[in-house]
Amino acid sequence: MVLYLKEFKIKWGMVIDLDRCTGCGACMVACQAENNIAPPVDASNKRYSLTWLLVYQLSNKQPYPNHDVAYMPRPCLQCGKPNCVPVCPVIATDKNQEGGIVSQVNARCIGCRYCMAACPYHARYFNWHDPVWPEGMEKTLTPDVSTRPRGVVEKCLFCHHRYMAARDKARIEDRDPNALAEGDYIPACVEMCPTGAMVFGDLENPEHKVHKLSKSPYAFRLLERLNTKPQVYYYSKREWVRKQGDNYLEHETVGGV
Amino acid sequence: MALNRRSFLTFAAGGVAGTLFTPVIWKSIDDTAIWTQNWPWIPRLEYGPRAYAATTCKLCPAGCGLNIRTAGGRPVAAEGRTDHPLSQGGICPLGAAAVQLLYAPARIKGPMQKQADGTHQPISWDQAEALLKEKLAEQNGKKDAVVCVSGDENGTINELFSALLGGLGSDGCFLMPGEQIVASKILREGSIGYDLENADFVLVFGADLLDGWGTAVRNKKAYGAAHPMGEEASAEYVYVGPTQNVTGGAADQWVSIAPGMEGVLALGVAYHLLQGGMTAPQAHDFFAYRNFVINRYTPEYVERLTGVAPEQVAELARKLRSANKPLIIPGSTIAQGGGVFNFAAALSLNMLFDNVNSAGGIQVLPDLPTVVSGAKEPAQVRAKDLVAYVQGVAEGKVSKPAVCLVYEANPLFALPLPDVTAQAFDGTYLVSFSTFYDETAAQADLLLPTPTFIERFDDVQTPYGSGFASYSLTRPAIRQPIFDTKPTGDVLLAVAKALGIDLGFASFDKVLEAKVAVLSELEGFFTDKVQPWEARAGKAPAAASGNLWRTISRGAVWASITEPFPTAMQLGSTIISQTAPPDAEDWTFPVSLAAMDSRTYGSRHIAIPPFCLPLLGEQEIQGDVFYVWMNSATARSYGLQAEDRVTLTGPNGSCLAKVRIFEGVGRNMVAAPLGFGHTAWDKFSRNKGDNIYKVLTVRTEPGSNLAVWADSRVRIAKA
Repeated sequence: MVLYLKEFKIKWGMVIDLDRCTGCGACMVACQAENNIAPPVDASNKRYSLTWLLVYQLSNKQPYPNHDVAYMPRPCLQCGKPNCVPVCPVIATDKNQEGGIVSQVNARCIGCRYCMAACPYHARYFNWHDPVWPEGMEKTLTPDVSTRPRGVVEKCLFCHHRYMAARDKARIEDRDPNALAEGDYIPACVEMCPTGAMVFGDLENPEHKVHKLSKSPYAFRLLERLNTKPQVYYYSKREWVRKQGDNYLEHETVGGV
Repeated sequence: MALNRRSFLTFAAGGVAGTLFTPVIWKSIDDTAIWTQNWPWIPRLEYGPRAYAATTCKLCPAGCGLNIRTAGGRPVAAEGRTDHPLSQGGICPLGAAAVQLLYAPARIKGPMQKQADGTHQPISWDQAEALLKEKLAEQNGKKDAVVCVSGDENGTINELFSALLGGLGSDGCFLMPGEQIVASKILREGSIGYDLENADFVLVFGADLLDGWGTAVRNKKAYGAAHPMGEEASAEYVYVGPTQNVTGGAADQWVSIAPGMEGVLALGVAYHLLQGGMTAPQAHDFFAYRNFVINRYTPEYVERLTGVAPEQVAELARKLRSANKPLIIPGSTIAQGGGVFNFAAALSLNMLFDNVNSAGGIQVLPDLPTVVSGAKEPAQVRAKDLVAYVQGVAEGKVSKPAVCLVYEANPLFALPLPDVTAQAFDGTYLVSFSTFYDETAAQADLLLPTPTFIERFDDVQTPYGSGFASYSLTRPAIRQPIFDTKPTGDVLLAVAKALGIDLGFASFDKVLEAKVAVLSELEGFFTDKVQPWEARAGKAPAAASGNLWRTISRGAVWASITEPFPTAMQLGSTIISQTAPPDAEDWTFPVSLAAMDSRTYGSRHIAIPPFCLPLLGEQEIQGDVFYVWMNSATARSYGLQAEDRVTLTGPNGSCLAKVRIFEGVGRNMVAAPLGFGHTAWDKFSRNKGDNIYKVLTVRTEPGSNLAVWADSRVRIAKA
């Protein structure tokens, strides 16, 4: 249960086209570089690797030759009714800023990991160890995102620093920082995607592409029945892909055409 | 006054209440929280003015434009350049990890010489160049005693190598294997391009178009543009290849065939087109082609060889015919080691549709003129078969080179049968110009590290697969190279001068300036207003004018769509019939090996970068063991289950892996990624998985005498 319900005039969101994503992973690398995530020596140990954005492989589970595959990039879904927020004992994570991005204040986090247990999307990661960059590589840290020590939880923030920068720029140019145009603010992953499978914008603004796309019959959200109301939508014309978005049972039908 | 129970409790309660009013306790808790996260060993952020430096990537041959983001002069991130036609704002995982590679532990920090005990010890650049000069001088005038292996397919640096070698009396300037060697057997001059952007039906045979093949990021942009979200697709993509790799998974349709069978299926499609009355009167050899295809590539024969049902082949032909601008792309799944047969057969379908040098078709692209005196024409360098040469040396048929110069290449890892390569070069004085401590550098006698592309000047000319000729510069985004490195171009010029060979330039920058100067003699334009594919579709660009060096050195991209010379159209009936594979099945090695080459696993000369490691799934690598993929039916027939350990055995070596059940792999095939199993490099890339190059089989294609290994076969057994 959420303790409060705040509605926002601006809701930053994504629509990710799962028919167009090829699973190359450029978004994941761009995310790590942008958000100063240290490279792990053994990334096959997924318990210890931090992937704010993770590309999952989906399968229609049919044997060859009827097999089909899809790739699903999963950032933090920035839920409208986040499960992680009410469980945080120290308000290190919160959803109260215009734009609807679920915050994560690392300096406040006490590492209890209640939020990780609460998040149904596994979008949160815990620093079991201090981050280590090979000698010299710390010089490639961007000046935008602080490094995190061991003992804190971290997650995707839709490159929140880019949002701040876009608002600052709008103010300097005497535009309304609460009426950013499409393209003024784009997270690193969306910007780098080589097939353009990710579209970003204000879900509430009819001038932004995501507004219309999120209402498409082919659009869906993950585990919609949990009523977490994510601000990340997925899009696929393939029914089997949409079905996997909500763990549908064999006999259930799915929305869309 | 005695302290009774009542006054004690009052005092205690008062004390508790009192502390609640003082800020000290809250402040100290807050400070503790902050200081427990404030360890000195966690790096702090450094601030500084932000800027972008436009450059061109040299990590693989795709030639994407990159913007290097800097903060206070330090490169911090690589982004795709929106103004570059080969990236259009996109980036691949390898390019995205480019900046961090500057500080990869595997970097060679200065020139080194191999000692008697096998270790490498630092020397000065003067000593290093003197040593190289001495070794080359010993071989001066001896025919083919010095060879060079370059992994840079598109750089002007190859002109320096071939001119230097020519001055020493050697003809041995080789490129690492790629698609262009096969293309050069079809087209003697210039290269073959593909105008994806204007096609409305793209049929890909083998080539992993959206990952490791050609201009991958541009291909992805074209694919994305043809599949707009929320609208109908404007082009259909069909992939004919062994696995649901990146291209097979993304394409609108996937037709699974074993590697090496692409040509048979293409001619099976041609059969239907010809039966349907299609002609190609512009080709001189149409009737020979028609007879050959109709007599041999009947639906029954094609089904027997490829396993693809006749209706499916007929359906492909029907789709092609109903398209307005069909484009057929030939290639090998690993963008190397393919034969002329598969290439020419798939390419011939384009001729039937008469789409050569038209919008949405295949293009003949010019080679830019050479500028270094004595340099070989790019076409001559491309046509040289490195793998056949190495095999010849290993077998003793060709004399062993005395000196081998290796530039941006890792032949001791990334040539098929690396052990044979090591044997061929055993005793040769090996000089590595590599930036990183790769397998070849680890064996080299002399290390002359070149800076990374973020620290040096370089260039990219028309990458293979591009739909237009292009030229853009690579420029340093950092003021000083981080380590004691020296651009190879400058080393070569200095050594040539010491040897008394006049290459005509004082520095590599001047070579690039000269290269840009020759562009002004060609018909070209800058891509700032009109994109090359728009020009191809009829939009007229303004000719490039003004000071070309100034414009290009600031990041502009020069492009040309001019047909360089009239091309005589042939369907290639002679070469196709000469190179057609025999029907015999090989039962010693019963399983087709579908090798995969993905940018996630690095490139031919770059091992998996640290920042790409998290991309590898739990079913790609676990600890130090990697996975090979097969479908459940194949696994069952070999008594295997998911997670079982297997050995893949080829004629010359074997690999250890675990089984991943993936239904997107064709019947009786095992898919395996290239790029694992490094033994040098650093802790991020070393000892992860096994090297699939060890189990590849090199055969000589009849008719073309080309070394071919894309259609390798293996034995699999539970380990």
